[in-house]
Amino acid sequence: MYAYSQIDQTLVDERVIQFRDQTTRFLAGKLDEEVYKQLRLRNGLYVQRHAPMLRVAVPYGVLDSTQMRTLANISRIYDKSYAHVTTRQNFQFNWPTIESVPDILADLAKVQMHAIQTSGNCIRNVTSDPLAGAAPDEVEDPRVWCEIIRQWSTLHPEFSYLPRKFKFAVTGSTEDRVALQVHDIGLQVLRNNEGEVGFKVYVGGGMGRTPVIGKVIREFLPRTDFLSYLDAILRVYNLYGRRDNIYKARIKILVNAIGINKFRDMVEEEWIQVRDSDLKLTNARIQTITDAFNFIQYQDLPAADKDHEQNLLTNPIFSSWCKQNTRLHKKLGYRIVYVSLKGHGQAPGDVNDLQMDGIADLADEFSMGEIRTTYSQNMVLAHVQQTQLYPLWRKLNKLKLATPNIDTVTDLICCPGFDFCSLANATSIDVSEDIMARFKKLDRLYDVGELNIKISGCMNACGHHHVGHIGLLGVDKKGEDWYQITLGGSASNHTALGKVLGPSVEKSKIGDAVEKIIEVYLELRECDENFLQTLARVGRHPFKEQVYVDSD
Amino acid sequence: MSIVINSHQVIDDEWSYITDESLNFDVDLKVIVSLDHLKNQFEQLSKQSKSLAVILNETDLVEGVLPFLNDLQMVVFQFKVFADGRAFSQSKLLRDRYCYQGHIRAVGDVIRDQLSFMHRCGFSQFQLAKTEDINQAIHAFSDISKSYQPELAQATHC
Repeated sequence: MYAYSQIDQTLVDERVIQFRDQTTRFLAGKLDEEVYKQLRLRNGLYVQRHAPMLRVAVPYGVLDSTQMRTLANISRIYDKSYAHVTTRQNFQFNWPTIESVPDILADLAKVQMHAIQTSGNCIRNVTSDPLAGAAPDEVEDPRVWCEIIRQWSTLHPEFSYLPRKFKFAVTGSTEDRVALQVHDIGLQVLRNNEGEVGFKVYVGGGMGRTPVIGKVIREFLPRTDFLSYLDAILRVYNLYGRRDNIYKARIKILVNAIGINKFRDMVEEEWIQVRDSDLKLTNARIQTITDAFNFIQYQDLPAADKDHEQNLLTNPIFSSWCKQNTRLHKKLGYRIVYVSLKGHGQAPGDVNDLQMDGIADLADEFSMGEIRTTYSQNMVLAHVQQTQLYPLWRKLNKLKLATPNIDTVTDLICCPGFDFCSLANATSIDVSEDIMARFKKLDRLYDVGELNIKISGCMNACGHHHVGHIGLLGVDKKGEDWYQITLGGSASNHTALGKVLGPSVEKSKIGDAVEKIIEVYLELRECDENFLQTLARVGRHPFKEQVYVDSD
Repeated sequence: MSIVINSHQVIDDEWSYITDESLNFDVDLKVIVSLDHLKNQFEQLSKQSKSLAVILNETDLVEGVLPFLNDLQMVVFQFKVFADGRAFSQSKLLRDRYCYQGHIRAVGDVIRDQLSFMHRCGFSQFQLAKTEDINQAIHAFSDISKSYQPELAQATHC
């Protein structure tokens, strides 16, 4: 974990005081509502359908057990004893009062947490690989670079009033686990032929109403130029991004309007001017940030463990969990463990206070006190010794956090939808519950295999429906909830946007429609084909035929 | 009308806007003119006035004033909406890239809680929105005492 410096702590503490003053002025009628809105949004506070919603930053999805216990406590004191993990790896509280938010922020600041820039038209919390530092396919740990972005972008004097929100994703691995190409800027750490570390830079990706896949603006950016190049992109965007229409204000629209080549020329021209400025990163600066991380020291462990092998043989549920919810670790004798927040009857990404406390305890006992959140709305314990998997599984089971369903149909991504969000057109949580109930049986779930369903309650696409293998988008039809179905999306290395299957489907039939799509896949797949491969081979027609069979 | 200067002082504004593109004003008057006015009548304006300033709106590019920069005592950025952040970059460019040493003023929908950011982008004078309490606003510059970004580069390379 990155350890806060005195500067980090002072800044967060002072931000609490500043926000308390802003809130006090607003409540006293001395601050205009529209002004307060922009200020509170830049501090993660929305006013929602039923109550305000506070989004707490989890920088690049890493937190420690103390922070997790604080979040549990906050949910008990100020909320309804639960929280929600978002697709940007953050935490949301759905029921605080505006008056209590400064106190919540003060509690957070005591454990080096905050809500700075978790919403508003500014640079948002940076997302990263939940397996950072533990993944075997990693070139370099991306968290150092995330932290460099976090610092540079925090309360940036020039880039705090951008045309629209701005989202970064950073990965240090070859396998894309961060949806790199659907971010305003995606950064992939890699090595060039000379062995130097640098970045492949994608720009102008995004979801929302106009989904766009990011384009490569630079194949290799040397690491010393990391910040100056980002500065150049942001300045061009701040000056030339559209501000006349919020639906056309994201950087993707600018890049598409003038073309990636022209955009690149503008950025390069700007970059020449700032490349050798104070933004140039020295090796000493990079080292200082790296040293602040106190990276995990692993033990040398044997590859095989007899007790573990025995447990795998004798306990089929444990065995399924190991297969489905754990991943290969870079260090022999360790495994990466996914904590599923997609249990039956659980709203995707929701976690209650006892589970939060429980995860904190398990992190201390089994994973060096560290926890990750994932953009697929689960958590990860990244450093578990293989010999400890069985006791960890038993304890996760007691907490209802061991549903062995990672990357399956029931591990679906879902926004809070109409139940909470004032932007939503339709509900999403009940649709996800319906789908999860249909695939409750594990043999059926495993037969289908890897399949991502993503549900958004409106075109803002918080549930990432554009990149779901099966995507569902809630639409409002004369006051009723209907759902548009897209097929073939992906947020992986081969990022693709789903294509609309046909007319939208009413709520009472959407579960059937999803089930039919999956049945068509099972019927038509050849050998080990996954859903996307079958879809690519047979096309949309057979799916369409089944979904709309009675609709003439 | 009062303005805030130097991060903490409140003074009376000495500048006047010339909105009709006329040249009919006293030589001692400190005048603010539009970019078009400046471009069209620069020679007459610089002869007519000892103290000249230009006001830019959100869509004017700062590059447009570069030919006149040496003769401008002040560049004014008009904020129609406080949340439009273009002038933050424009001001920074004036200081960092074009080494402008005169005053940079924010006018229009300028709010207390942006003053510190503006100051760090090179703004030196602030005419606040009518709803703001100017005597309260002068304390806004020290809300946050730490920052991560490099300060303006002007001192080193200009």
